[in-house]
Amino acid sequence: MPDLLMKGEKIGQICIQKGLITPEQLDEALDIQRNKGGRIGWILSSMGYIKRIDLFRVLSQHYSLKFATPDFDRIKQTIDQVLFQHITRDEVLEWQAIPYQMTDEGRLIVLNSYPGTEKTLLFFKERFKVKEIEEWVITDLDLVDLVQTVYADKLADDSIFGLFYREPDESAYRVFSARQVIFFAALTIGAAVSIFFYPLQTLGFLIFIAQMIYLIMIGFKFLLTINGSIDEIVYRENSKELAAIPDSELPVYTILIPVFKEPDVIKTLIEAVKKFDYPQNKLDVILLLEEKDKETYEAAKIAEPPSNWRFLIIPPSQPQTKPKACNYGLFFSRGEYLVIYDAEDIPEPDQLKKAYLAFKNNDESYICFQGALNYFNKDQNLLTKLFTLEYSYWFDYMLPGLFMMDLPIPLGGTSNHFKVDKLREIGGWDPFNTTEDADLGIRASAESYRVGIIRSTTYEEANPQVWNWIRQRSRWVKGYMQTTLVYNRHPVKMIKVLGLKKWLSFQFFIGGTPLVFLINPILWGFFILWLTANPVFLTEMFTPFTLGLSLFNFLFGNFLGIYMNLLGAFRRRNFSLIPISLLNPFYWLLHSAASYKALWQLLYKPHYWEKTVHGLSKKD
Amino acid sequence: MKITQFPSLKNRWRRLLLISTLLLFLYFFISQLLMSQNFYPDVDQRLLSRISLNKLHSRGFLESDSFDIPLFLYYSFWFLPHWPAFFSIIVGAFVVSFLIVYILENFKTPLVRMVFSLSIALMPSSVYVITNQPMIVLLMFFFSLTLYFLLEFYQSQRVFYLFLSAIAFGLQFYIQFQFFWLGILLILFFAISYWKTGLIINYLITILFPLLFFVLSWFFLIWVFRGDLTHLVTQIFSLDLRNGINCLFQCFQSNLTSRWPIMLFYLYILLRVGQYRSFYRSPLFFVFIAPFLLVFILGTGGNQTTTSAFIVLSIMNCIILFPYLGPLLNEKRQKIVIAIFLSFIFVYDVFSFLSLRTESEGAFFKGLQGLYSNSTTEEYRVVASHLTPFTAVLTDTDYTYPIFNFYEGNGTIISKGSVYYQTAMANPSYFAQAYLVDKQAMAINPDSERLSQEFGYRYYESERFIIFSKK
Repeated sequence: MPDLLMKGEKIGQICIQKGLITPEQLDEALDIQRNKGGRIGWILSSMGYIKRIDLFRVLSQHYSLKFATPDFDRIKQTIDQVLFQHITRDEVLEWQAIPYQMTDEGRLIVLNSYPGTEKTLLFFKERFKVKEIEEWVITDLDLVDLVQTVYADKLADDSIFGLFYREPDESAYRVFSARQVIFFAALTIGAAVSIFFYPLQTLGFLIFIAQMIYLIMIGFKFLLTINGSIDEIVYRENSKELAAIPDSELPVYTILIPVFKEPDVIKTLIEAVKKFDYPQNKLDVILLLEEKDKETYEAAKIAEPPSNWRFLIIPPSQPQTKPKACNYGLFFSRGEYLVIYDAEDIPEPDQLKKAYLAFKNNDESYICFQGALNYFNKDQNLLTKLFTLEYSYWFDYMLPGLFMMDLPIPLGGTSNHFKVDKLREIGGWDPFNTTEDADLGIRASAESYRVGIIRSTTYEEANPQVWNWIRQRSRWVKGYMQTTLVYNRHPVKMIKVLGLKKWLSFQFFIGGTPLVFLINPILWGFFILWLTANPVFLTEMFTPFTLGLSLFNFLFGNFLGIYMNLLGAFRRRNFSLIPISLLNPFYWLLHSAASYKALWQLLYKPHYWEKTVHGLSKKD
Repeated sequence: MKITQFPSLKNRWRRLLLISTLLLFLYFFISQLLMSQNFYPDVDQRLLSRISLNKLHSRGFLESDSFDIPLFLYYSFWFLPHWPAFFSIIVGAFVVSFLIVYILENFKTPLVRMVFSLSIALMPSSVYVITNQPMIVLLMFFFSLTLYFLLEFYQSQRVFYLFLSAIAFGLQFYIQFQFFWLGILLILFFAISYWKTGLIINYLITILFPLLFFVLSWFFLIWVFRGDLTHLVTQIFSLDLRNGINCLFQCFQSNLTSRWPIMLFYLYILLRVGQYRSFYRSPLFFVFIAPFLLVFILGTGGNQTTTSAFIVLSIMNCIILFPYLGPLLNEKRQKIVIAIFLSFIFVYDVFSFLSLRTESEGAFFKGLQGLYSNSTTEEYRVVASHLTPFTAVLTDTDYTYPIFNFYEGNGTIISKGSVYYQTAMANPSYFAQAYLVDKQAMAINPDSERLSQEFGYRYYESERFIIFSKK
């Protein structure tokens, strides 16, 4: 923040006098300050040379202010709640300062975790109509703690229902709208009546419709792959441009890391963040922890992360989902940009800069840039190999294809880089949607924003256990179903907003994916029956045209599915996976199993978050 | 040194569209002109009649006995079986337009541009192949695409090109089954190029997967719908090596004698680049020998390649080759070579059409001048027109098939492939109004005599056919 107030002895000198750092360390930090900008205390702290509490103690000494953290428990109990009628949560977070008490002399005591800023004092003077402000220094973590205490209900409510309050129809809180219930009921009754009176004709017609859906899906994915491949040709590496960005130009970047019962990965995570080619003092890393997850919290404390890390404890409430935690984190984000990583992620070091450059080089219509995801444990077993093949194709062909064709992009679970103000504008994540990322991508498109693709990969852990994989996949498929239902509440309005092309793309990509996996086992059943017994009723159900279409879809669809995955492996130079791609049809069986689980959950446990167990690769 | 590359179509699609449209009209006109003189494209009449009859009886591909006909070939004639060159004209017009765009892009002198463009578009060999050899046009198109994308992949290592090359290569199996055997050459090429990388198997899976898929899916369909997998597969993969070698030998011989400008070009290239060992390990060599490969493979399937097809393929491959040979040849010389090469080809082509070509090519030249006539085809046409009034015709299409390439009626044709054939043979006048018979077949088929008596009345008789009907 600008307009720094008069100050006493220099912070670096105080640190040396107190024996917190050596002169060499100070010189190093001053070098960084000269080259990259930033405040010296934060630089020293982000480099891990001084502890967070020492930083704020030194700051208080530097500005000759009272350091209130040692007295924090008393302060927390005696804070004047009345004062919060005059200031909002967002204002407190913006100024990094919170009113504490009004003294008998008419002075307002303000607890400040970013002291020395004239504008902060002016804001509080004007807002509380006081002439004098008494500043006390507290740590940023104390400030967050206070905000969480004072605004607890509002925070919880907003993180869960914020989107619902903004636009109820955009939230998956209600699974089906009344019209959708009527529609599905009418469809079911109509089909049942028709099957009763004309069983073979009706089933034949339904099979024909299913085959047409397949045909369109095959064509659509082929088109996406072609376009995704073109991206490979037109893309030019921008490493020189990246290197030319002065560090002083780079804005504060928030990294949200939601974790749950993952104490083992904290140290690795800290190391991964340290490896970012981005000034550490401009990183605002927020670890989102669930209140009952004591073990991860303890592990995080023991790891002593640098002072640019913050822990946010998410109070227990339902639904206990990742998007709710992310919404919570979003309230406390200080960055101009924000990215989400999972605890076990290993992003490529240049990813933040690439995202920044992408935002800089493109117009204001971009709300997000999605990085590619891939797996570091691809060789663990057959499942991880197939999963890697799928992801390589998805992130290297499908998403670039959607991007090239200017179609809505369902975001991946992590490595999505947002412009924070725009993310807040469209309401953040939907905590009731179990693929909140995909939903957000579609909502962004509905709000006329665009999602772009950056060529930087984050390596994650591929799920190595079948049952764990089915749980994870069922959650994703359920989320796709929820998203389809949400954005089909007002189809005509959506067509007007998105345009027909994007709307159709959404239907095929988001709605079509689970539908195809649900239909697959039925048609495979018919196919096996046809090959083995060939009963007469099947001949009547499959007209020559439907039979031709079915065979084309069966043969060409499977071929394309396998070949596209194979190419994904080739492009990534994962040559060992090329023969494995031939086993893809067995992998699709798992998809179908997960899809039926998802359908069941959509009806009976729509907001239940199937937690994926991470860290299995290390255990193996 | 500058490498001349193929033009991007993204910014030149208007130009391409305009030239394609003009050429389409021109080739359509020539095709119609030739057909009006009963000069029909060089396509197996039996195949066309089967397609016509399948269409007439609304029989889909799977219901017909067409598994000995490659799928893509079948559907390239399916839309307009009476005008078999229709699809190849569209493909040909596009390819020639693309070549013209290439010339406009790479040659700066207006006169040179015009002469070369007109040469490629109007060279008698091009026009002959496009309007009269649909199957070869399709094969050449996909074969050239395969090679072009393979070159692009080899140069840029972009997987996209490998993908397109593999698909184009695989699709050729659906035009002529013998193309499957070219896979062996691809295996050899990749083995030589990528042996040291240790990734040979991965490369081979990637490049051959589409071809294997197309082959296996074909087996699967035969197994499901016909059951006699062994017979059809043997038929499909029958490889007449002797014929292939003969064709190749004849082609080489005739090149030396009657197409020496092409051989000169080959010799020139070989002298220039043959000294580099890497040339033989790159797809450039594959492209270099492509016209001979095509001749050989077509020969193994029993198809003789015309001299015109060889010339056209050579030109197409020349266009593909030159951008890659740029660094070896230098730009100025490159243009001179192309100029000399094309000039020779064009002049020689016109000249050779007058004296050196096959009967069909000679007939084509007559047709262009409006001087051709074909009494056999005229007979088919007239017989077909006499069949139009009947709602059901009994016939043995093994002998009478050419008639149905000209048949424009809506009647039911009861022939050996029909469900009712045996029943209709037992009680013909109940099922059919007319009986069409080939006179030669009548002499050897005892049923014919009985059937002709059953119908009784000679409704129409031509030199070769008789139509019997009920009075």
